[in-house]
Amino acid sequence: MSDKNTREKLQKALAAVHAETPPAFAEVWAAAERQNKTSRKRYAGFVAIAAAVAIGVTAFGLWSTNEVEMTDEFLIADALMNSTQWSAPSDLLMPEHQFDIYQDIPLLMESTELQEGSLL
Amino acid sequence: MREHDALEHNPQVSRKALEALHSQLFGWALSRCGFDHATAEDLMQQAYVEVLSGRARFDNKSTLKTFVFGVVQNLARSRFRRLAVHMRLIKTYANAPVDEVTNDGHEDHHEQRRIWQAVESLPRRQRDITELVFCRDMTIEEASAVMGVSLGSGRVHYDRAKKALARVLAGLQTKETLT
Repeated sequence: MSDKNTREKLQKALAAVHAETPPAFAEVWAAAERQNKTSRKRYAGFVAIAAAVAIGVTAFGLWSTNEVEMTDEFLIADALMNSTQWSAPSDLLMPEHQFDIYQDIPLLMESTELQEGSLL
Repeated sequence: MREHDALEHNPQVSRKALEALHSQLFGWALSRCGFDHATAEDLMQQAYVEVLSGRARFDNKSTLKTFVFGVVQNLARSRFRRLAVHMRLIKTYANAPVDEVTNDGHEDHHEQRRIWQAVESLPRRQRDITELVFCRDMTIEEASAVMGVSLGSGRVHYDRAKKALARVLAGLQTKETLT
């Protein structure tokens, strides 16, 4: 059987067994265009939401990190300022204060005598 | 060459060219989903979406017909596969009693059905290449491209299919002569 013969037979058989009346091209095309637009919009929306979430998460991450660091720094400084005090040493108790520079340890008067159980 | 109605994401494809292939493509889509019209329409629409969006891109390496047939074939293989199997099962069971009914009197239709059943009984690739070459007017090279097999492999499938079909068709002719 020639190819031409086979082709004719098969085409005839296919047409007889399965009707192949296509739907209108314009209808299918319009539906495809609508679907394409919808899916593009949906994709753009998804991308926008994903970008917004990513930006939000990054911003929150940066903000919270800075906040912790700044709080730590300033809390420590404040606490130190509030809880410690320093004043310059004074020579007020020295006999010649404000004038003498002491090079030797001054002799302090002391007694080994007791009076009523206490040192004089 | 860019035509005036070329697609935005597929500049080598025009709406007019697709429209010219529409009915042939629908036949192929039908065959891909067990000849169920609604499923074939969905398949066609999905194929057009693929072309419109540029997800399936035509680069002039083959004919446009081969390209769009390939798009339908790939879609049918992936997302429509389950549905197609389902439809084929329905057809198989739905057709069984019809055969008996049509046996009385509609000899010509019955013969056509038997010829087509011979095609459908071929292994999948042999059936596909038979349909593409004999019913969709493609060359073996184009049919192989649509099926995603090499030209050599396509030729082997074609040769085997032709021999198997020749045997079946000769058998049918002998039966006719005897009756």
